[in-house]
Amino acid sequence: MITALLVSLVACVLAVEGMNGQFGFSRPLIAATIIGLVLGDVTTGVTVGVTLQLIFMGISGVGAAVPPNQLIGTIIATTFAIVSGEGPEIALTLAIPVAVAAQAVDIFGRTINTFFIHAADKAAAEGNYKKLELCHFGGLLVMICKTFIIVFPAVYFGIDAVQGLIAMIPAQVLRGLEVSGGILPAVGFGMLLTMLDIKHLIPFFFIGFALATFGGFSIVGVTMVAVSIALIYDHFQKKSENDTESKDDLDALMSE
Amino acid sequence: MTNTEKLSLTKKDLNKVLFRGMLLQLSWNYERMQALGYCYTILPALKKLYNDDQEGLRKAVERNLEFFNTQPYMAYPIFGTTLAMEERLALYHDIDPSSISSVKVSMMGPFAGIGDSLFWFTIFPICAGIGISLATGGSILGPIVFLIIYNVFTIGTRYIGLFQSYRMGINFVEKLSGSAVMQRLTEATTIIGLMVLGVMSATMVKVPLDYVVGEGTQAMTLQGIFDGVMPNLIPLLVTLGIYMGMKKGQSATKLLLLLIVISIIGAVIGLF
Repeated sequence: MITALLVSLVACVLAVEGMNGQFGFSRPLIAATIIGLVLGDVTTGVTVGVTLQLIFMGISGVGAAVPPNQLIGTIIATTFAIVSGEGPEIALTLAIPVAVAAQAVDIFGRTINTFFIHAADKAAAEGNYKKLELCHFGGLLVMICKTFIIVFPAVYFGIDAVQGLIAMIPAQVLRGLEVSGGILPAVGFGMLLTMLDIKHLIPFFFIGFALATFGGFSIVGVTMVAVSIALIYDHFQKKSENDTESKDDLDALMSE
Repeated sequence: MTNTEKLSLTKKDLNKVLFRGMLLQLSWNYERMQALGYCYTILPALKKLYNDDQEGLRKAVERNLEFFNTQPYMAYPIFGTTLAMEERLALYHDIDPSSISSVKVSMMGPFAGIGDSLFWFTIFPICAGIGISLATGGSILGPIVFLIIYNVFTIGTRYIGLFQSYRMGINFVEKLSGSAVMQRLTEATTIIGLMVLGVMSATMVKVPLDYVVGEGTQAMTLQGIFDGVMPNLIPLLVTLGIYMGMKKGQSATKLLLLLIVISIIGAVIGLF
């Protein structure tokens, strides 16, 4: 009961942070670590966080799209991994279906919020700005409710049920899940690729791949090379532009 | 102190915007998205600018309840720019109110595009990648390092974005949107994003093919054979396969589930 309440509380705070402060606390890597801290098993928390972060790497809310709720998926999965003692593999099976289920609830919540914008219109017309601010905070209530509604029952009622289920899973399937933890990051990376899909720049992907595979470069090393290449590339782009007016704009922006 | 000085925005007013803007998406909805958040963020500044001009304030509030959506960190340069314009309007009445709305609209699209590719697809993956590489064995150092380096960018962008854009005002918009700078900025960040993505595909996607081919001293794992052709070949092919699949319109969820099924089948038949 206390576990369920604590986890739900953390989930609500992180859910608000994920949409608003956006300092990265609601990302799987950190969220799982925080759950690990709260439940007294940081090592498992971080390990689950790493696995889930890799899978959800490319999934961010772009524009109006509602992504699978990686936060709720992470929180429930990490809690189960720690409480059941089954380790990080089990987190993987849970995180994705939970994230997809929570996504549906998110869409519902964002529909309910439409009510507040209409109320705010009315408040503005009346010149009642306190009320307008209150309307904005109506969204906070919706966010907390929808997070609590999923997380609390899942943790409170779910652990026994989930433990029973886990006992029924054959060893080979568990091995398969472990393997999929290594393969699934490809989905995030593939998705990022479609986002960065500028045809004449795609070779840079292979340069990065080759540097790591054959040159043993780390991420930081490649980032340095990449920034240098980007600056050189931009220099030549600028040179080939005849538009003198815009010539120094990027430099001006960079130095600001 | 002249009336103008009294009414123009101070650092304190902008700091309020800085903090309120962190609640931008509290009431995100399908109809007008971040509109109410936008209005909430700049409300104290508007109240100050329009001081006792109730009608002006009401109009300004309504103007700032219009549809708005952009990348949350990149909203700050837009706050700064529109506040510089609101200030001009409130104090001198020499700009067209509708131009404030159109500046807002013309900024939010390109800024969302740059913000998405810069933060969600470049800076975040790089920072998370560094955090993950330091988190081996469950070390808490990884998460901590991620938070520190990532937030240098998120806080820096918000702070500099707001204060610089306010200072530069309308000038800023012309500077950004009137040229090929946007495209160049996108291309430069895309190069960095793509290269880092190449590294991550090579080092973070793992397909352990433990299946043994041959017997006795001739025995070799499938992994060893592929490594002989080219290390990381399978991770590369899987990543590219997913990319192709997504380009053909497959959903991420579907591909995730497909890979899980393949992994389990692979484990059951002894491939992994």
